[in-house]
Amino acid sequence: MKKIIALNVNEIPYELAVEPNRSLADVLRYDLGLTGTKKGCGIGDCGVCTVLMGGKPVFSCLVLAVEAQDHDILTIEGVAKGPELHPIQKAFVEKGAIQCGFCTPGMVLNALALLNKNADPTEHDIRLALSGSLCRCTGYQKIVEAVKTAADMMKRSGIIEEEAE
Amino acid sequence: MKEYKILNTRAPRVDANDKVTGKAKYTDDLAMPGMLYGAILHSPQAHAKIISIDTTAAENLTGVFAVITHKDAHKVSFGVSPARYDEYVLAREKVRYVGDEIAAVAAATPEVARQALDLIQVEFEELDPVFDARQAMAEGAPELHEKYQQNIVQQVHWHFGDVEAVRQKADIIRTDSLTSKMQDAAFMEPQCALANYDDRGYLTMYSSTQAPHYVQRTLAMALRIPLHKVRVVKPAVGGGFGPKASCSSMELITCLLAMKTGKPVKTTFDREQVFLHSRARHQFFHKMTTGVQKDGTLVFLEHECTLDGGAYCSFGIATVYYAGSLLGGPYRLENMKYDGYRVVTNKPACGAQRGHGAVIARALFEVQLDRIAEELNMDPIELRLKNVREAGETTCNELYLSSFGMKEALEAVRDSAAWKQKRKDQPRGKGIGAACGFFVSGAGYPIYNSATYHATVITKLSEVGGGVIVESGAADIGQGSDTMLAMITAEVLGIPLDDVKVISGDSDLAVDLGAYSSRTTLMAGAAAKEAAESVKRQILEVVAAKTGAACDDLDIQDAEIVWSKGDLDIDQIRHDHRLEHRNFSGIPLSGRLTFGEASRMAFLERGSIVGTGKYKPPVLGGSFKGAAVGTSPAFGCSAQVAEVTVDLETGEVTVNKITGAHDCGFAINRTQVEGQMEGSIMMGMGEALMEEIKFDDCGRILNANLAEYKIPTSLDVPPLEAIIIESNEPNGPFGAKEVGEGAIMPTIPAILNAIYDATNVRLDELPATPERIRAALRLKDKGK
Amino acid sequence: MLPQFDIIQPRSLDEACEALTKYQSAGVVVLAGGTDLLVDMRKPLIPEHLPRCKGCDPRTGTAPRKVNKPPSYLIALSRIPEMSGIAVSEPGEISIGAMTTITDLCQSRIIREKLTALAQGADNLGSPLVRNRGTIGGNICNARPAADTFIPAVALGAKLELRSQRGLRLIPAQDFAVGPGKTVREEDEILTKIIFPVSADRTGSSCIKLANRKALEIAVVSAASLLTLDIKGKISSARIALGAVAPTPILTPKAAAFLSGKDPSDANFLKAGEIAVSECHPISDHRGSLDYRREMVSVLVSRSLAAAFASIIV
Repeated sequence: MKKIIALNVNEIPYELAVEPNRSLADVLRYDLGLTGTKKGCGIGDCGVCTVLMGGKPVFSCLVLAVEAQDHDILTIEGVAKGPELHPIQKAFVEKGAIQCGFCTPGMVLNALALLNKNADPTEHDIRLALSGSLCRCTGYQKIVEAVKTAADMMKRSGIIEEEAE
Repeated sequence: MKEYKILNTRAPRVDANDKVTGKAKYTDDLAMPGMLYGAILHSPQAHAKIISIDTTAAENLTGVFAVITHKDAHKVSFGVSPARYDEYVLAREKVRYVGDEIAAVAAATPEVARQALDLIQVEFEELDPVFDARQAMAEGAPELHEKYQQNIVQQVHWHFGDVEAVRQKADIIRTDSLTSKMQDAAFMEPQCALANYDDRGYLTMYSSTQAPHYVQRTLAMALRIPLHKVRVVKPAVGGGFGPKASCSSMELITCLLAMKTGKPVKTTFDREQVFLHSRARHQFFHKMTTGVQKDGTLVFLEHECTLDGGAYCSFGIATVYYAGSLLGGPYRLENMKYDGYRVVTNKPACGAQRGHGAVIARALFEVQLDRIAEELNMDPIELRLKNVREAGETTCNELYLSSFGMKEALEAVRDSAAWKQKRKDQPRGKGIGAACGFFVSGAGYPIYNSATYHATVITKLSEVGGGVIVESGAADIGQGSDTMLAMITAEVLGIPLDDVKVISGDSDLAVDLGAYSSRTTLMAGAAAKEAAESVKRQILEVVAAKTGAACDDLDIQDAEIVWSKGDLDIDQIRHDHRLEHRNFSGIPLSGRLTFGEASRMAFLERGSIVGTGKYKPPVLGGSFKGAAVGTSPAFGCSAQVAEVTVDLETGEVTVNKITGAHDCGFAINRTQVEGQMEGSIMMGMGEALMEEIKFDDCGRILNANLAEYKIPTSLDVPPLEAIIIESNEPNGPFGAKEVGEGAIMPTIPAILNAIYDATNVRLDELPATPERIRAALRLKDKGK
Repeated sequence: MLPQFDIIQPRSLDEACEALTKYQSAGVVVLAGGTDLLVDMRKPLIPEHLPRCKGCDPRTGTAPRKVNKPPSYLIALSRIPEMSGIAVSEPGEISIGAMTTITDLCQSRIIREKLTALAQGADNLGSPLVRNRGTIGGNICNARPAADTFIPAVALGAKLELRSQRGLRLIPAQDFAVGPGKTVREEDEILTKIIFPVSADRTGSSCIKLANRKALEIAVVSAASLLTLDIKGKISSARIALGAVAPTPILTPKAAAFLSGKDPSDANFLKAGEIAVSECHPISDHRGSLDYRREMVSVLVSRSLAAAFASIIV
């Protein structure tokens, strides 16, 4: 039987009736039309469905929508505030970190979670933070470069300090 | 080299912003009003006769709109090569692998569709299966298809030069073998198709495909619809790497369900279905005997290969030819014998995957070169440099190398990786290895017998002035062909990249054979160049007529019309243009005639300004049987050096760095060329060390998921250095040729050679897992 | 695709125990982080009613998963605050709530200092995305022979607190699993806490996992060791646990006994590794052969002992 749940997605409150067996990924994609969250395996192996839940990256395919209540959900659609790209997104564009783009939303969100808590990550920190998100196109080289560049951009613009407060 | 404004830069991809914000639409992101959901019933058995299928209960389930079996489809076989069509939309009479499609459902929700599958009853009569290619070729083996005797789909027997005549000239003769495992392409986006059949009999399918053109043809043929009423559209595609280069049963089933219900139907594969459908890398059993002289000169190669291709032919004919033909280079080798067998077994069908057919052959040959170098006490890179071909040479199997920076690539990685020093100084457990490879830059012939153009492009000036729209059939599957088309067009027309809009991947727009065989930059790029040049000439003709300047003295630079003789008189043109655009922003008040004004004027004078471009390779290849496979208007080549650390106690390999150099002719976009190299290296690294489809005794995949089919994570892949070599290919647009597949060729052998350098053990089986390395080390210790 | 079920999201442990008892006959399963359970519960791609070939076990091969009847109810423990957290409960004891996430274990300073093997086991589990959702209780109750936090819990001598409406009981970690995926937990019981003794001074521990790639992996073999030295620097006690070499995590008492009273030398660690080989019972499967696993037990045990020794702060 469906349950009425309140979801807070990208700072917008939604009230939805969902079956208990529906994943957060499905509800985001098919009920809310937020198709930037991708589905690549459905069982937590690939990371393309990553969203931030209470600031932490999680596989939205392995979170039941009914369990996502009371948490702030951030999807790729909520990363850029306004028409300007977020510095991480800018860095992905400029550094060529995008090929097929299917892992990109998840990569950006994993990078965002990392940089929000670690303004000055080492290469290993970056590779570790991205290690749950598979990419088959880039060899990760330009993704790692983009995250480094984004960290520099964010430090310069003071974004990291603001969000850390 | 000529100076370019747009080409050879690091311009961001035209689709980057959409992809980084989640706005890009992939097929499963699409929906239509009233859309139904498709689900497929797969065979649980590897080889069985179908006695009966009862769909009654499924049909009666509320929410089910259609249940289909082979009875609902025309009895038309399809596949990849017309001479080997061996598949049906849904299994008729028998199933040939665990996963074969038996029936399908369209229902109001995905849940109901899956529930309906639970209600379909199937009765089987078990047949003996065969899971090993060599057993399948043996006398008395179970037969999969009536038309394939001894389960052999295709055999190749080639002999170039005369191996017997030169055999005694060789001072060293070595025989080595290498066995690989079936692989999965593991693209991130599972296949998905959305089909709609309208009241006028037009079928439109959106699909995650690499080749809308071939899919269009197959749909029309198998579903008995006129070709011109079938439209295949490729939305954003999340990677392909080969398996999405042909029409799948799932695509046909989705269309059939749409035709049967009169409603749009969408089917999306689970990850498990991606593995079952497969069409990825074959399993190869290679054996090579190579003869060399004391000074390192290659004398001959005798090569035998058996390919396990699973239940159907798919790309198999091309695969078995490629496995032989692409050893014709990059070295001078005048005597080559090849015997290849492509076999069917009761496993998922294999097809094309990055480096089609040639990757494992290349791996063994390059490993063998290292073994030969060791016997000759020669540096392996020196041995290679001694034998590499140069531009202008033709291989023994008649592949003409119109440009070929193999030597430059090899020297570049040698120097950049400090090869000589590391080769000498490293302790046991650390190793460095090198390898080379080359690949076609577009197949010389289409898959079906035809004189078709391989690519056409239609470029249109926007009638309102200022913009350009490029229409192409080319399939951007992530490799960046839309950006390539936009950059070439912008460069030719002398306008900013932002003013070019590319619409592509739609069979209604133009012809393009698809994203396979690393053909798109050379072929679609050439067509785009021609189309843009045509448009440019048309604008300048109008400007010439209006201003009295000679057309040849006019050019477009930085979106302005430049006259080599001075300033054009444009007062009247500008006045008219301003009158037409009262209150608009960005209307020029002074300075030269702009591209926007000129293109608007061209429309006012001549109507829509459209330029077309087309590309077809010249007649290529020799006259021997199978000579067409491996031909190409150009060949890219690649060299790599891999550095590894091997834990001698556990067998674990850590790749510390890979340095690659690839000759792409000319880099249209430097960032994207590097990206293709880095992606190729990573895929090769996975295949070298961890990727392997595993089966149980019943032919079922044990690891049909991305947890246990292991592809490298960000922690596994080391820093990658990509060096671009530019040899200016005469047959490519602006000198450009391939990078997407040639760059995977050296990776596996470079890693294997580095492992040998670290451990002194050779592996005859891929992937080089810790367990296999440890077993080899143990064997070696025992031998002592 | 998940089958239909209803979900109960209790706010307290009492409510959870009550619900678990109440819905038992209807079929009920406890949901922790969901990273294993929701994967195991999926409907199989190829329906189970279709006839398989002769000798084909429907539980293995393509779509290997449990064929248990899907539960009618899930009881989610995510909203019970008392179930997460790391606390020094008694002197010499660290208590970890069963719903504490693996990431919390990785990031806890006290766990890294006092229960190093557990922190390392947590580091090795899956990927950051799995660690953010997966819980120590879920990992242990799932009872995979290779479970990344279960192996160190056994080595470190943890006790598991099980609670039901019938009462409380404590089970030593090494007695909890009885087979792959099977434990002594009764259907009405909830694992609430994992209680670790904090050893005396001169104690160190370590956990090592062998796999084929550097993230998202199931261990081919894993080994966790706990080592305590006496005042003279000799080994006063050792405990060694192994993963993926038996149907459950196991201890290797003979190897541990061998070390007692000996010098913490590489030679003795190597010898202990060799002894441990005789105490394991690996099988060959697609992740690794019996021979390779046995050989690796020896390597991993000696390495984990050396690492445990190296971590001792004197």
